[in-house]
Amino acid sequence: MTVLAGESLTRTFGDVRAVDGVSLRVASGEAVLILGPNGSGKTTLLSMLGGLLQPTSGRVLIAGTDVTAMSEQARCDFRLRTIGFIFQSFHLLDTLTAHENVQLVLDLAHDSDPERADTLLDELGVRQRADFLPHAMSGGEKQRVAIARALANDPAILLADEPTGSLDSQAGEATIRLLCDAARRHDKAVIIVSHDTRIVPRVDRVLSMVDGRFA
Amino acid sequence: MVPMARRLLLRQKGRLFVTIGGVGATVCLLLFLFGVYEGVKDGVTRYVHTTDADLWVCQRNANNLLKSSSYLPAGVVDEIASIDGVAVAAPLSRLFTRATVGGRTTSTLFLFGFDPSRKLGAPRTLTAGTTELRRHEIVLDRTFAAEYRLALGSTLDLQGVPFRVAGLSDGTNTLLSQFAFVRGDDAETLLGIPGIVSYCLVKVARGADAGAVARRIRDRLPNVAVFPRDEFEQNNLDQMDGVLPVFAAIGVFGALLGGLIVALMLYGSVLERREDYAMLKAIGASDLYLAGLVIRQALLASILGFAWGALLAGMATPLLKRLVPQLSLRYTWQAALAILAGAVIVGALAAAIPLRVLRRVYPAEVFRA
Repeated sequence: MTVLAGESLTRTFGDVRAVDGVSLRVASGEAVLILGPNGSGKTTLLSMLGGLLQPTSGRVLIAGTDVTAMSEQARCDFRLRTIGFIFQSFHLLDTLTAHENVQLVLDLAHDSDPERADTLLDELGVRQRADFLPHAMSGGEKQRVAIARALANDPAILLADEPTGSLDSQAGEATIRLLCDAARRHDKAVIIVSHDTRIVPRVDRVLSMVDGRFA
Repeated sequence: MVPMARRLLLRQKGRLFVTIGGVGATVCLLLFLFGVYEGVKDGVTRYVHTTDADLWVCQRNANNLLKSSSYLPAGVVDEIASIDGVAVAAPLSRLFTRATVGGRTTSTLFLFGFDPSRKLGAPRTLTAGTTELRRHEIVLDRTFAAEYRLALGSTLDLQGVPFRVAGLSDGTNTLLSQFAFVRGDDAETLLGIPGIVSYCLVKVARGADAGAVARRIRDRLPNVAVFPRDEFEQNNLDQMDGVLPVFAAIGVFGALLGGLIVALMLYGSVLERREDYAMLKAIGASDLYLAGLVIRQALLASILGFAWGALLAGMATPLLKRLVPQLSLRYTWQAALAILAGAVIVGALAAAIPLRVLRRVYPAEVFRA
């Protein structure tokens, strides 16, 4: 079942067409890799799919809802409950412990399950780091905590921007394996944008992007 | 619930300490300001408030002790004493004078001369000594005595006449000058004009109506002004009106300064953590949540600043009183609560500037980092 659909998405910045009429559909439980060099428009596409950036034209449908037609505030709330983000540089808050970084998302959604954060950290193998601040964790551990945070609200979709970009090859591979496994286990749609071809064998589908279009 | 605001504040301890220090210094300044104001207010009212006089009689057109001249023929006192409903009528002389202490000329004193036999007009708030004065004895305001290192038994000269310090009074300091008290006959000698008093203090008989007695005095003596004690006290307080705008201006300036310090701290913090705020927006934190986060930080910094300022004022006051003895500081809970409320309001307002920055943080910025 299609959970995420981008229809004729275009985004221009001045005279530059960063994304040019791109369409895609992603089903629940499916892992899609958007592969492309720097500047190909893949992060801009991911921003639009995640409701972070309005397209110049085209629309994004998530579970049949037109995200592009929503108000900023409604989109924000929709993101909280429907989309989990994973970033290249982790973006964990350095003032919070691993547990608190995950709990924060639950707080935002007013989720009162006291076990949820620990369960996720346990599932991703970083439970023992729950009380550590990010600076005391390795890159791989930080990315696992970031995945736990992305899964916290049980979103339908996970969007990952260069998730292996700040990791060595071993940690990167382990992270992708964990991300894809967790997504399949929880029946999430996953879209990964990256220029790392080592991810290819781990995903269900690969889309190549060049100059704002799928090749 | 993750204590985000506290964590974000504590993350930048140096900046937080500078902010608390700045806000604290401002709060301390405001506490001193309120303290001085309350001290002066006490100084200009307590003497009138604590005397047993129900009515104050003075020359027509005079209405206070501090900024009006009043001269009455001494015979007025006996005439008032004979009016129905008057229990005691006592003369009070007032003159401005400077003393000499060990060859050093002092600041100007408000010197009151009262009749020891009738008691009315003697200061009621002594910290030491007595008001049972003999000739050439004086009661000094305690801050004046401290400033000139005078104690009970010390001597100072008034117009070349030595006076022995027999008592020390409290609540008799108007900051710009202090009160001192001598016998009426000594005051008359110092004034150099016999048969003149400044005021007549009236205690009404038990059961008599003070308003009715005042009317009878006015009827008998049309050239005098008669004031009930409360009104006369208020008249003295009104003389401070000129000082209030100055205090208010300093207070507003201090509040602005405190607000600016908090605003700058948070402005820098939001700019520095722009990526974090973008990430929070990206993962679904609402504008309301983020605004609350910034406002909570502002309030925390303001409240911590207030606590530090109050502590600072508490520690500095004894030192200040020693260094500037004529300074009369009175701290009240009402003033402290007003400053705390001000700190909270200014802190919340100070969040407006960083909130403007926050509004211009876009969630898609999270991918730029």
